[in-house]
Amino acid sequence: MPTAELIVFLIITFLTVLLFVQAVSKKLKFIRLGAKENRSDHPGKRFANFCANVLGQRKLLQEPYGFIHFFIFWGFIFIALGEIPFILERVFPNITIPILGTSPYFYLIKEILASLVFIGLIVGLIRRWIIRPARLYLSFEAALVVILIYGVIITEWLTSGAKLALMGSHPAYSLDFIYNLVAGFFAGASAESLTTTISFLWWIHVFILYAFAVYIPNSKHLHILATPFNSYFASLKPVGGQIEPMNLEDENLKEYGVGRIENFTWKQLLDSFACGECGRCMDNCPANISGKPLNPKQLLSRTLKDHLLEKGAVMNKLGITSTGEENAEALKPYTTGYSETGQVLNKKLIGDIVSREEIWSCTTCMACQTLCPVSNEHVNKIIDMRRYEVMNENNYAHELQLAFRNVEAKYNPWGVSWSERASWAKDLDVQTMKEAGDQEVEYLYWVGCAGSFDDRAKKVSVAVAKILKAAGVNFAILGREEKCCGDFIRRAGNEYLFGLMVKDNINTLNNYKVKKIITACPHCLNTLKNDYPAFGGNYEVIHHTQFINDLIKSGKLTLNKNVEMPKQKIVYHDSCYLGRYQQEFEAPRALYRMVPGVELIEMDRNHNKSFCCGAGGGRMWLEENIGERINNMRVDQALAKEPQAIGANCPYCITMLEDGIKDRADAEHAVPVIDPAELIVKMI
Amino acid sequence: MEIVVCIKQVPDTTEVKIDPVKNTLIRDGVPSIVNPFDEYAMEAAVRIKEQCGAKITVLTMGPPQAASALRKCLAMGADEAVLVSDRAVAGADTLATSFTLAKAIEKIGKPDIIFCGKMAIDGDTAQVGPGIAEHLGLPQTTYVQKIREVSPHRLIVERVSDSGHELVSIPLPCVVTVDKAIGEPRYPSVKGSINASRQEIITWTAADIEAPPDKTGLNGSCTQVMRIFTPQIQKHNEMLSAESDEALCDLLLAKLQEAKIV
Ligand SMILES: Cc1cc2nc3c(=O)[nH]c(=O)nc-3n(C[C@H](O)[C@H](O)[C@H](O)COP(=O)(O)OP(=O)(O)OC[C@H]3O[C@@H](n4cnc5c(N)ncnc54)[C@H](O)[C@@H]3O)c2cc1C
Ligand code: SF4
Ligand code: SF4
Repeated sequence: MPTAELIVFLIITFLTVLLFVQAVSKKLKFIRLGAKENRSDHPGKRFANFCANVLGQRKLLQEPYGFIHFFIFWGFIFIALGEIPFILERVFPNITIPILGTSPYFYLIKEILASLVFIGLIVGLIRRWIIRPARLYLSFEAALVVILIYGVIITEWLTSGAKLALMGSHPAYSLDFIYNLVAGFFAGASAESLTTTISFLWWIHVFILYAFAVYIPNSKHLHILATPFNSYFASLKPVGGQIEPMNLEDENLKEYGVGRIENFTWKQLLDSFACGECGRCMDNCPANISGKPLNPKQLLSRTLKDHLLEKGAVMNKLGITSTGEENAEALKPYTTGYSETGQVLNKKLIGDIVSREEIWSCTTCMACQTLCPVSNEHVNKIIDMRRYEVMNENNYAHELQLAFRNVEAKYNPWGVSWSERASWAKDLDVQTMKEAGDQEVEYLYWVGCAGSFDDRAKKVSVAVAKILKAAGVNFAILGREEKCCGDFIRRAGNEYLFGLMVKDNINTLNNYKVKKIITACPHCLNTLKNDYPAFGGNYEVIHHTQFINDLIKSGKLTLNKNVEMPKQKIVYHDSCYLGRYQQEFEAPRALYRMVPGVELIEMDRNHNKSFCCGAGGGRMWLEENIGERINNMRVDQALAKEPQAIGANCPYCITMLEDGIKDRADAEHAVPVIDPAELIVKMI
Repeated sequence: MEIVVCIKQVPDTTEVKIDPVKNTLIRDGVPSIVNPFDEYAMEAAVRIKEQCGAKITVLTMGPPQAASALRKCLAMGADEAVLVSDRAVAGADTLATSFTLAKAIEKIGKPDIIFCGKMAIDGDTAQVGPGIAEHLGLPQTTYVQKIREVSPHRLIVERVSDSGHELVSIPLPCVVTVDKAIGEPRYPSVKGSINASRQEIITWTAADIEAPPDKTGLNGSCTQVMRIFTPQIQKHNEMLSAESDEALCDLLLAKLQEAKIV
């Protein structure tokens, strides 16, 4: 390369690197405003996650169009690798770059992928601009980036093709069908004109490439850079166990939950930058679909991010790292009186930025997180904001307060007398742990508040107890010693009351040396299994549908297949807390299939894409007065399959679906909701 | 203004069941709560605090576990909590209880108002509040339903009595026992509860409050509980009627004599 050109090249390269680093470090400064959180443990596991989710594109491949992104991703990697010889060979003509500059197979793979990217982007554009799925934003940004990518790919093809034409042949390009194709076009051109063309195209290419490099970290496509990190730093805990405990004994802790953007952890902030705006979360969010103000994609990619960018810019300018009480004095000059800076600093995260309706609409169904390809963690943010409202501001719905009060006084949200907890088992001769005394008890049957007090759920409790007895299982219940497990309390943001319940329950359980727990409530299941370990309660917890399957498989329970059972189509509803949370989809289905006369059918939304009943995350105790009722929507989806019954495995789901049926179906179309245990019990 | 609220930790009597075989009360594991009337007393105190500013001290005499009842009151808005806990004060009847509480109040200082609940839902005597007033030589008004006016030297309150509603003007310092009509007790905020759980509870022994051993606990009690049992309620109703009131009285008298009641 001539010296003059080299100087120009070095200058623009330097500028590009500078602008790129500047843009990235500016974003990093925003992320660093967040609170501390350790996400560097277990590097091995993290790397494995990174490989599966980023390199393997695991979640995207589970989607119908996901393979497109897979090829685009790997196409980019190979195109990027191809840039190395492309640039260096011109700058330093005398060096040979191993593999990238010599292997025909590298070029073959690169070109196959690059052509797929080429086609993939066209398909993508058609989807975005012509089919227009509601979840994708139409934006200038999206179009611009596609133009830049085409620019990069095409100029590279042309330059290298011309180069090949000039050289006549090149061993590394022998399998590169595109270079050869392009070289064909240039055949016959003079060496001189080819040299000029190559030089011209090369420079165009470099300019487009550099523009792309500077544009990425300054645009929403920053997600390309943030995602690999976000995947690496993703929570290693099961989705049901990601709520961080709070140390309420810490006297220095004066503000609970998150009421200021910078109180989110750096990882929570990074999520916003990693969001690729693909919309999978919103497409499966029951709150969003039923017309509530919550849209998980919007929340992360716009609401929180925009606020961080705005407030973070002011904070960084003033050199403050927190706008908490401790800095109130220092902030006074900015926040009193009118100033634009003050306006920004005075904005309340909850109320001004995120509405209260938004944070209370979430059912913690985990559809968003389960489907998000970039490992974003939506639900924790919502719970953190609820914590702020409940614990810090004492500002939350009256109905929820009533449920809290009931738990405090009666240890169950219904507020039924505590001493009635074991009444459902009165005539069943089920022993309590206390009655068992010194006798070895293998399994604790955790009944839960619903199973103990809700008339409908009690029937399932009875069925389960009868099955356990018939199989000769050595089990007991806690009876009056059982207290609300705290699932909804925690997810509704009241970590304090949750802590009280957990402490008492763990004391009781550990006192009886409980190791294995069976429960018919997926919410209790998740909390006992995933929330309790952080508080010193470690148990093996299993859902009754899983346990009954085991009993049948091991021959401890034999079913009488000759009983008269009605012929019926049962449409199955996956509960969020057994399905997405535990990834248990098969056990309940297997039980229905064992029942004579039952034909099991699926709704359109099933397994990981199942639609919530609307009761999780404390929603059970809250009025639902915005948009359509989620349970009614689910009932509509079920009734569309014209079943004779709906199958469910969770007391909340059963209640919600039955309510929905009352609302939606006339007497003729009303169908029962049945837990599999209620059918199995008829066969013993 | 200084206020002392006397509270008692009681078993949640709605959860106390009768053992059908032994005919005794099953108190095992029954949750302990703040005596409901005392929550109303707390509410009355907190409302005054909100209105005209006051320092509220909650006071209880009881076992160490009673601290949790005090914490609930701290969460509702009390500033300080005092627990009188000592073997020497255990087994007290209403006389010894009110004496001990009076001694503790003297140590707390010179409160302007001492609030008590109308009665405790387990003991049910409604004597402790009036007892405190007597021991301290203070004026008292009981079964108060509404506080109309608070001034530095005087309270104007509404109370119920057998003969109807009374409007009472009472000089400070005084003892007031309250009824449920005073106003629904607030549900403490979570923040309040957390702060309360971190706050220190002042614990005094009998010696700390200079209560002589012969006046506290079992020794200082002039009544003693011999046995607790569930009364068999048998209803034998008989309606009496007669021509005139006199004839009716005679008839009643005869019946009572027959039953050896008079
Ligand atoms: C199970 C049981 C066992 C008992 N054992 C004995 C015994 O062995 N010997 C005996 O003499 N008596 C015994 N008692 C009765 C005991 O004397 C009374 O419970 C006690 O004196 C308070 O009276 P009360 O409950 O009727 O309260 P009340 O006079 O009805 O209460 C009125 C108000 O006084 C205040 N108050 C009452 N007690 C306290 C307290 N401890 N601390 C602070 N404020 C208070 C509260 O504001 C309350 O609302 C027993 C009672 C029970 C329920
Ligand atoms: S957890 Fe469910 S309801 Fe909540 S934001 Fe995610 S998808 Fe929506
Ligand atoms: S949060 Fe995840 S699922 Fe939702 S739009 Fe962003 S990348 Fe897609």
